[in-house]
Order: sequence, then structure tokens, then C-alpha cells
Amino acid sequence: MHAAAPSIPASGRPGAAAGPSRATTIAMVAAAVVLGLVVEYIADSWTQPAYIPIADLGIGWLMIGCGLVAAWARPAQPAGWRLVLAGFLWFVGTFMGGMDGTIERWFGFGFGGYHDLVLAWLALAFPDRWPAWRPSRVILAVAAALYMAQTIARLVMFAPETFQVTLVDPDTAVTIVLWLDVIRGGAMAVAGIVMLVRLARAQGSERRMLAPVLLAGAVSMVSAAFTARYALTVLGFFPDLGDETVVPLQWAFNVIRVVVPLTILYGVLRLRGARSAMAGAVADVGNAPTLSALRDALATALGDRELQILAWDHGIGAFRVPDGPAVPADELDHLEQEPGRRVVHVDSGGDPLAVIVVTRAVAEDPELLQAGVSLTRLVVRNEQQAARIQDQLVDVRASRARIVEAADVERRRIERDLHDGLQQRMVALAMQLRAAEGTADRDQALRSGSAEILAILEDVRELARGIHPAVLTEAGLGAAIRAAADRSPVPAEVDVRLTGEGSPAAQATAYYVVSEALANVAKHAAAASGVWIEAEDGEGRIRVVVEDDGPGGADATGHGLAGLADRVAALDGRFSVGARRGGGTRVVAEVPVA
Amino acid sequence: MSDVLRIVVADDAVLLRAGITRILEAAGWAVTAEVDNADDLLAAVRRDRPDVAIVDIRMPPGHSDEGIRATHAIREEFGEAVAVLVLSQYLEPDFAMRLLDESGRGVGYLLKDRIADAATFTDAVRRVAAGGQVIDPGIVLRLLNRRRREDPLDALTEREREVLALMAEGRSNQTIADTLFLAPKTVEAYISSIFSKLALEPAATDHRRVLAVLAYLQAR
Repeated sequence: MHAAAPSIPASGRPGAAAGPSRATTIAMVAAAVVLGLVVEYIADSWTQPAYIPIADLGIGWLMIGCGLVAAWARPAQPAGWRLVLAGFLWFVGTFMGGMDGTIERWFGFGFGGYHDLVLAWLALAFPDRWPAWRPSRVILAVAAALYMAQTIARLVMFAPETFQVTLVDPDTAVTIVLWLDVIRGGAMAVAGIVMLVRLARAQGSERRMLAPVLLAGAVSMVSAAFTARYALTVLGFFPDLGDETVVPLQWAFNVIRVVVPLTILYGVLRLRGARSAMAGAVADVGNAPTLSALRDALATALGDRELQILAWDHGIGAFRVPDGPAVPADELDHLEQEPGRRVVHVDSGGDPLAVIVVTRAVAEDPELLQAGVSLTRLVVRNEQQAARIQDQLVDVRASRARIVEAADVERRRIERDLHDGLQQRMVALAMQLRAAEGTADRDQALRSGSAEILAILEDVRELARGIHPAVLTEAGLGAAIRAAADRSPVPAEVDVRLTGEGSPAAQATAYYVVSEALANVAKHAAAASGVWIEAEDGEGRIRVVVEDDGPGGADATGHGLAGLADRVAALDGRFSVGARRGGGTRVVAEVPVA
Repeated sequence: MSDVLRIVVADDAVLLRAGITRILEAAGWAVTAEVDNADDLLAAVRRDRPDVAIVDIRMPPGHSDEGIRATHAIREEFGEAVAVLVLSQYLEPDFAMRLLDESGRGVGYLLKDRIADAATFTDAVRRVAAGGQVIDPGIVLRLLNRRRREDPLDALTEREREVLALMAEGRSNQTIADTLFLAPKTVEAYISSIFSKLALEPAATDHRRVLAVLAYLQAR
């Protein structure tokens, strides 16, 4: 009778579906009022005690009213409209009492009680359009079939005399109708039991979500089943209860019929409550947006203690438990196939961010799930960025420490060179000149003294070049690179295309890359037949490349090269040491000019 | 030109400037002005019309190549009437070639350290004043020692290399002959051999020759 596939109500986001329009609402209310009054008039209810038409009208109008409110509050939720439908069908039942040969009584006899079938449908399927659980689907189908069978039987066998067809003798017809009523009542009782079982099987948030509607449904089923009492009594299976028992029971069922629409309305409105639970989760996670906090908050909000969140780890290219091991792809597949659980993927622009493993019940509440997915996306992205920044911070701290240390080492080297080299030689020179004072060798001493001073000067020049080469200041990066190349013991070819762009720091860094790379070639690749140096600027950066055809295998973490990497990184540049095509080493640095 | 050279000294290092002045005055020349920046240098040259200006490359305000630019300004205004000797902390072949190319005769480019050797220094001053060219031996040495794969200089004999170096320093054939204790004819023979081995066009004049040789060494 209906598609077996469980269908998830369309997105329940506000604005995604509009509630009943004002015109529809007014039309519905007017129809309910008019139809109710007309029906009571035709049924001649006003001649009966006042409570009968008042209870009739009140219950029908209450169902229609609650249904309209529910449909307005939750446009995507079918329960509201079903309640409205049940309310209109309720009025049909007004004509059920007694057969007097009129068309309306015949019609009422045939179609009475359908509101209970609609309520069964509502509760068995809630919150979806059609029930997803097989027992619910089966009992709904059986109940619907029995209702239709009963209608056909009643209409055919108890038609007004003008167009009555006699198929069976009247006694048999009564027996058939009575038995059909008993079976239908039994089916409704089973439907009520199915609802209770479904409720018992649900857990956490699903149970909380289902409870009001399923309990209301189950109670309705009791009253629907109880309508078979008359048939049972006539068939002799049930004692004839006196009015003193039946009337209070009827009143009790009337109370139930008042409570049921209100409870269903409450259940529908409570679906919004799930979103408030998510708001609580957002508040919890906001304080400490970590994956474990998110897991706990979602577990609480969704009422699924088993809920798991696995975050995508770019480093290993797999999902992993927060602060835990990676989850192999096949285990994820296994989780996906586990009955009762569902793996929900959280992506960002097509890139995997995380998966949420939840009970199927949660996964079938799309609104709640959507909120959970959004929250997860936010938190995981936040977490990933925090991790990235943390990594960068670690790198920056290490590099800062290395730069400071390198500067210290360099200062110590300069101090040693000044102390052990220049200072000693100058002291010796001063003593030598002092000793020559007034002696015959004076001229000789002066000559050798000035020669020694020139030699010292050469050392000073070397030392100064190590600190900051004068050529860089006087003639720029190109000349400095050429000068460094000219000093190279390995034949060097220079290709310089520089416009002179770049801050002093950028130029000096580019120079030190070339100079250190050349020193490395001299040290480790003396067997190289040549070294090629390229330097160019433009597009906001200076780019230098130093290649040699030596043995290769340069260690980028070696002292000199690591120092270069730090220098370049400090200026936000890029530095790489790799193998040259055809053998040898290739050092590339790009330094922003500003 | 009188025997007593009139000289302007531009250097922002006071001690060095005083030392230079003392050496020049000891050589019997007159220092008409001592300045410490390029603007004052140009003013002094306009006022004193010296025979020689001795200019430090690196001067305020930029401390980079002010001396070279001042030299060009002097050349534009006074032509070869004012010889210029540029001093540098550091030898840069490009600067030497820019000087020779744009300034022609009567220019020199010396490492500052040479001042310590008064004889070499005064000789250089005398040579530029006489319209000669002076290139610091350090530049020539650096260019000659530059390591090259398949170096054409490998074809030269030891003697030819010595002659090439002296040519590059701006020495005349006579000076080369004197320095190497050779006959001028022999020097000429060496020079033509060098030019043919390096496939260089023989230069029309001595000062073009220096530039040609340096350019060759630099481009090698």
C-alpha cells in the first residue's frame, strides 16, 4: 500500500518549508466549525443530552486545532496534518450510532473510526511520513486493510434498502461484520503494542523524542480496540457490561481523546527541543573547542553515549580517534555496516574533516544531525588550525633559538679572531717597534712593521667580509655574488638578472645563501667540475639558485644549511636543498624583497 | 701642468684624509681642499680647479657609490682636465670598468690599503695626473685567478700572464719592459702573442687597451 523505503522528512530548517498559510488556516477552522455543527445537526445530536454533542465537537475541534498548530510550528513534520485529518474523520463517526436506514447513517457506519487508523499511521511513522521499522509497517498495512475490508463489508451488506444487494443472509452478514470488527480491534491493540515495543527499543534522545507521540498513539489504540467490545459481547466472548461500567469508561476514553491531541502537539513541538539541546552543546563546546569536548557535548545532546568522532589527519591521510590511533578504512566500512549505527561524513569543500558515528535513530533526525555536523565542522576546523599554528609556533621557536645561537657562535668566532689573531699580532708588532727604538735597525724595523700592518689589514678585511661584505654595500648583490663566485675554488658560472630590488636584509640573506652554498661546494663537493649560480629578482622576491655537479647528498639539516633555512624563514622566504638533475646538489632560496 | 700638483682630497675618514694629505704634501704637492662628502667635493673642484681629485667611493650620505657618481659629475663638467683617483675599501671589477669606460684617461681605481705604501700611492697619483690609467693590482689578480672550466688563459705562458697583468693595471709598454727587465720590442712581441692567443682585437690606444683587457678578463 505504500513505498517500503523509510523516508526522512524534508529538512526541518526554518524557512525550508512554509507552514499553512493564513487563508488555509482560516478555511480549515471555518470548515471544522461548519462541518462539526452541520454534522451534529444532521445527526440530531441536540436532542440528546448536551454533553454528547459538546464532547463530539470538542474532541474534533481539538484535534484539528492541535494539528494546525503543529503544522504551523513544524511545517515539514507530517504529524500536524495527520492530526487535522483525524479531526475531520472524527466527525464521520458521529453517525455511527445506530442504523436507521438513512444515507448518512449508512455512510457513518461504513467510514466511522477511521480517525484511529490515521492516529495509528501518525504514531507508527512518527516522526517520518512512513514507518521505517518493519513491524510498524506490517501492522499499519494490516490495520489499513482491515479498515477497508470492514468498510466494504458494512457498505455492501448494510446498504439502505433502495440499493441493497443481498449476498448472504442477514445473520451471516452481522456475524461477518462483528468478526471483522473483532479482528480490526485486535489489530489496533497489536498496533498499540508495536508502538510500545518501538518506544522500549529506542534509546537516549530517540526515546525522548518518540515518547509523547507513541504513548498517545498506544492509548488511542486501546480506545480503538475497545470499540470491538460490543462485537465481542454480541459474539458471546465478553460479558455484557452494564451502563454503570460503560458510561464511566466512555468518559475515560473521552478524556483520553482530549489528552491525545495535546500530547501529540507536545511531541511535535518537542522536536524543537532537540535543537535547544544542540544549543547547549554549542555552549559547552564553545568554552573549550576541542574534539573530546565536542564528543562529550554531542553525546549528551544526541543522547548517544556510544557516539564517536574521528578526525581526519592530513599527515597520515586517515581518520583517527582524537589523541588516539588511526582508524583503518576497512574498520570504518565495518562500522558503516553495523546495524543500528551510522557513519556520517563531515566535509569541508570536498575535503574530509571528520566522521561522526551515531546510532541510526539520531541519524534519522536530519535537523539534529545537521546541527551536529555543523558544530563538528566548526570544531574540527578550529582544531586543525590550532594544530597547524601550534606546529608553526614550535618551528618558529626552534628557529628563533637557532638564530640566536648562531649569532652567539658567530660573535664568539669574531671575538676569538680578534683576540687570538689581530690583538696578538698587534701586541707583538708594538713590542717589536718599541724594541727597535734608538737602535741601528730602526729603518728595517719600520719597514717590516708597516708590512706586518698591511698583513693585519688583510686579515681585518677578511674578518669584515665574514660579518658583512663591503661589496654588498658598495656595489650591490650582483657584484657581491660575482665576487663570491670569483673566490670559489670550483669554477663558477654566474647568471645574474637583478634590478637591485630588495631590502638590505633580503639582499644580505640572498648573498649569504650563495656564499654559504659555495662554501659547502668547496668543502663537500671539491670534485665538482663546476658550480652554477643564478640570481634574479621580480614579482616581489629575490631568487637565487646554486647548483653543482658534485657527489650530491647534501644534508639540509647540516649546520650551515640549517642556518640559511632559518635566515630565509625569518624573512618569510622559502629555502630548499635538493638533488640536481644529473647529479649534484641544488640549493634554491626565495626571499621577499620587503 | 706645473710640477706641483694641486689636489683635492675627499674622504669621510678624518685620520685617513690627514694621512693622505701628509703623504701628498711630503711628495711636494699642494692639497687645496679636504672634504668629507660628494657635494663639497664638487664645490671644491669648481673653486680650486685641481689637477687631481682623490675620492673615496663610500661617502655620506648613502655610504654606497657616491664617489663613482661624483667622478662622473667631475668628468662631465671638466673633462679630462681634472684627473680622478678613486679609493675603495673593496675592489669591484665592475666599478673599474665603469670608470674606464665612462671616464677614459686620467682615472684610477685603488684599494685604500695602497696608501700605506707611499711610493705606490704617489706613483698612482702621478700617473693619473699625467693622463694615465691605474687599476689596482688586486683587481687584476682576482680576475686572473678566477677559476674557469676550459680557461683560455691556460694557453698563456707564465711571462705572458705577467705582461697581461701589467697591461690590465694600466702600465705602458715602457713600464712593463722596465718592470720585467725586458726590451720594449720583446714586450710588444709578448703583447701581440697574447692578443692573438686570446683572439682579442688589438686596441688602438693604450687606454682602450686597459679596458679591453679588463673586459675580456671579466667576461671570461
